[in-house]
Amino acid sequence: MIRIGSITLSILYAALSLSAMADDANATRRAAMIERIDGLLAERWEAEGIEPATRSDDGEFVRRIHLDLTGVIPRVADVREFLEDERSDKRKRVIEQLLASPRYPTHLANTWRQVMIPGGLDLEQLQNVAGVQNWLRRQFAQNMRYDRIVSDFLVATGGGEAGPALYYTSLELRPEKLAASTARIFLGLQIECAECHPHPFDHWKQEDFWGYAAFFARLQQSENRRGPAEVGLVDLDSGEVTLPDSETVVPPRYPGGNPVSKEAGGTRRVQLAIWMASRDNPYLPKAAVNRMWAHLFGRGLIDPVDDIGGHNPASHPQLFEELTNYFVSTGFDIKELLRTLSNTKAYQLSSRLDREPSPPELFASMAIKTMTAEQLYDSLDRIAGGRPAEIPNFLNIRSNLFDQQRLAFVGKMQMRGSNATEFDAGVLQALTLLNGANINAASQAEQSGVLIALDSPLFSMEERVETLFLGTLSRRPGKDEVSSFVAHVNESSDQREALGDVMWALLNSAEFALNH
Amino acid sequence: MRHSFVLHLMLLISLAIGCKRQAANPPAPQPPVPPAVTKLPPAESNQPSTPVIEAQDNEQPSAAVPPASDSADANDSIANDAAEIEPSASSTGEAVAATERPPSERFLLLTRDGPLVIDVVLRIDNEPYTHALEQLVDRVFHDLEEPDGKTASWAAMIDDPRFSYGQFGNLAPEDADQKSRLIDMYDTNRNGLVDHDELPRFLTRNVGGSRSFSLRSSNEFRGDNRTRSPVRRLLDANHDGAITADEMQAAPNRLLERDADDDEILVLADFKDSVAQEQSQMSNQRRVNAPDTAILIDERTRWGYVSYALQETYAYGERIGATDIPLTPELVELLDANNNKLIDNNEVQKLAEVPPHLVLEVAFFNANEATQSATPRILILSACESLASVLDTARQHPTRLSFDLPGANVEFFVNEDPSLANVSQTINAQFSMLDADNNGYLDMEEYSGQILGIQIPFEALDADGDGMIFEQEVAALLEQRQAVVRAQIRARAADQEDALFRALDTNGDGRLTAREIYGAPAVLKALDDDQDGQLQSHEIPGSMAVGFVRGDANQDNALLVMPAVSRRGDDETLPAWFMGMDSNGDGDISQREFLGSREKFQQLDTDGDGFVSGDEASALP
Repeated sequence: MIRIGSITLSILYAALSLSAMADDANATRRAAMIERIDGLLAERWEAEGIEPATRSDDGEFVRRIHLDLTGVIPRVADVREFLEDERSDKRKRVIEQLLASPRYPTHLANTWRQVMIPGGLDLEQLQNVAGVQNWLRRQFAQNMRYDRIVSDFLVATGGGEAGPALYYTSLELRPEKLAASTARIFLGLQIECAECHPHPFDHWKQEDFWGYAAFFARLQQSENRRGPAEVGLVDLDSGEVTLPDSETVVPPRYPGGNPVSKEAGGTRRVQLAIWMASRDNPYLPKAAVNRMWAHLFGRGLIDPVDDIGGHNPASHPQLFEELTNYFVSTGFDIKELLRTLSNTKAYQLSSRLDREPSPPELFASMAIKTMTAEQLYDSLDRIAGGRPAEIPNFLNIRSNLFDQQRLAFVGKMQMRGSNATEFDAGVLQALTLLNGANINAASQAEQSGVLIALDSPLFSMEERVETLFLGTLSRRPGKDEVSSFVAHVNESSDQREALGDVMWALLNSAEFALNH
Repeated sequence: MRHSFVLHLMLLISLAIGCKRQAANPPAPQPPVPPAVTKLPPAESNQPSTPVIEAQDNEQPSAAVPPASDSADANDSIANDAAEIEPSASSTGEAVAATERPPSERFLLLTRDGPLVIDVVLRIDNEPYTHALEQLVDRVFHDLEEPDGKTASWAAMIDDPRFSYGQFGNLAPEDADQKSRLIDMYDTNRNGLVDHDELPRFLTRNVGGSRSFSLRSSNEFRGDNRTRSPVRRLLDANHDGAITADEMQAAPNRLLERDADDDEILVLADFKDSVAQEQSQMSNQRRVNAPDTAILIDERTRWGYVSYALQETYAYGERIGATDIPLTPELVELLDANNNKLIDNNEVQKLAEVPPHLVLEVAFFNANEATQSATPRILILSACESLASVLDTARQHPTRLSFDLPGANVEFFVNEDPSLANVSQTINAQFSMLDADNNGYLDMEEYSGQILGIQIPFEALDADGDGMIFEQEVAALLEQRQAVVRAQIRARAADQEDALFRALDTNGDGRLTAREIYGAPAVLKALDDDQDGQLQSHEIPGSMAVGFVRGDANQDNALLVMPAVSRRGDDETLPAWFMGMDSNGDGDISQREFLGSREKFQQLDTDGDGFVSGDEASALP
């Protein structure tokens, strides 16, 4: 008995040791990659004679990392804890904490869902969009290998995997639309430019585009649906695509690669999925790395993010290649990629500059990113002190996509551009911000949870003003800011209302609306 | 009305034969607290007794605070409940005090260990629940009268623009054929005229049997809500069918994975993934060939079915004896006219007369300008002694209450379409969102064709045709449209979807809060009856719920899901700052919700449990 117990313990110990060794190896590899990224960027700065920005201060960093990894600004308590933490590795710790947070998969699902189903949210499609979003969230929550996510996405038929199947129907199952969309999303290629004629800048020809589209030529909506919202896909045995205005059938062909081998089994989508996740596909890891880089740095190593090709070289070709190889070596681990990138000195540079900014593709200072409409809404919601969770029970599924107020806000604020560093605020957006119910909820003394809370005898007026700064801008106010805001409140006949004015001013500042 | 009166009379008669009720003091509206109950001695009668427990004089049953302006009425109406008792002839020839009691309905709830006889007193806007529909019918009938006093014809009525998109909803026939079909449907006596007694069917579109109250059962999760529990499936990480000790410990983290918005609040819907998945699961549901969970007892009751349902549920199709229904064995003696110790088929009708095990009150309020919002409420008015111990631990919230019976949990809840409860606030919120230029009205460009999810043409809302929709115009049309759904209460009894979720929700508010999430391991361990370190499905208590709702019947999927109790925003006993800081509304301030320094948090958190409770906050000078 004792012996068996000892053996069990030994096995357990060995397993734990192996796991620890793997963690060590990962940490070593990560540290090397971080150093390499910073080294290669620095080399370029030196070559260009550029002085990078200074390191971001703690308030700047904690706000940025929360927005980038969880999609919402930090709570007052999060900011206080971070600012008061004196440990030298506190940035590393907060990155780990946020990657483990349940909002991390939510934010990544939001981000990818917007990539997959761009534009405003169509009310009629809302259930389907929520299905895609929830499916994506599950994948990121389990930190599923990225190549596996894409494969599963490509072979979805419906039923339990209704999320991705809904994506197909949102593009009406049309091969050319699916080809254009999946190429952009998963391969970073704009091969749709070759739909009607050869690509003007890259080497793609019409046959390349239609060869890729042929993988989606045999899709059909299942007739055995059990409800109006249920989506089921079937892969037929026949169905081809032809070149426009001709009867020339184009057989399936992998982008930049060979035709499908005659021995290859499975449906066309399965054949594509196998190729997609194989080493023969150079585009998948590149596109993922570029997109995740852009997610954190505001623009990709290749810009636009979905236009990879010889005609559009990376700003740092060596770095791009090494990072892509690193991503593959980690097992297409998106979380590890984000962990690595956010621990670099480059990511932690300040966005503040006391001189003319250098070209953005040199990443010598952090880009100033606009918040997405959803980031802005969720951040306002957090500051407003949390409205009661009255998300309607819509067919028993809970998703903030069904929140009518959020939906209306996002609909108005949706950015049109694909580049996070371009701000496309129109009159409607500005009016929404100035008059919107959210701002009112957050800044009116009788409505705002935070203002009601701050009325507690626990706080002095200085502490109240400080708390509002921590909650909105994630930093402590400067001495001048404290004195002028406190004076404004103290001189007012209605101090609660005056504190609401402070809140309103903070929420309408550029410092609040931007991720910097 | 007549039916209700008969039922009330039956109720009172029953008091004499089995269940002695003390004239209840009016349970004045109070903030929600667990109902205080008192045991009363058995009635002096040769009949077996089912003593009743009622609210104590000084500690009244809980109730949500109704609209201030209506509180006096509410008091009066409930006070009358007791005062109206007058002598009346009972079936046994004894005289009991009785006159008209407030209208109520009776139903049987088939719990695991025996049927419960439940009476529910129903009110709409402090009036007996039947009044609203009666008044609406009267009003419409009056409105339809021709100038010469003649009754309107169905043909003329269908052509009236109010029926296309106005007062009575969308009912615009596209052609003559549709029109004649509509007339066929509603002109039940085929005289071509709109008769008074034809109007309920038309106005309600035959929803809820065209009556003020209806009850139905759902077998959707019958006997299956433990094995198919989404929470159990999530916690059973290794999919071996049991929740092991390790999985119990890991439960908080597994639960939090589903907290997509990271607010430390989980509702049942958080454990589901996609609409399509849900629908496919729903369509795969086995059709459970079991009797209804609850049966309405009224003049339409099919007693043969009642007998069948009881026998199938409790005695494998045989006649029921006392040992078959350990929770309510006295029913056998009460019903057993021929003293054969069994309930025979012809004896079940007496269920209409026996004293109730439980008397509930369900009240809905119509929002008006003064009240703006009025939450419906449910509370226990009285209960029999056999339920005394379980009611001691009943969990009462304004909109829901629950208690534990042996092996099962029973919940009652009220719910209504939010747009009914909170018309002006809802419209105001939508308005400020749509009114982009904030000029106080919507123009064609700003209005998208629907408001509050209802398709309404611009012209229909723009009553005066000036090209501008004002908030009052929206409110007026919606109020008219809602008149019918406001007048009907529908109920549904069903096994709840997830028995384990319910077990983890220890305060019965329909949400797993931070305290409950982190307390899950202890609850799971306590449920492990045989203490073998593993929680098996059969060890999870069953769970059933009865919901009383108002709203569009098309929204039943949403309405009949028990709503979580939202924040404690109406608890005036707590400091306002506490409510403001409790941003997720779970009744505690966690460290991450706290706005001050760590030192201040520690000073307030006197019991050091990591939360500032309402009591701790109230202790702040």
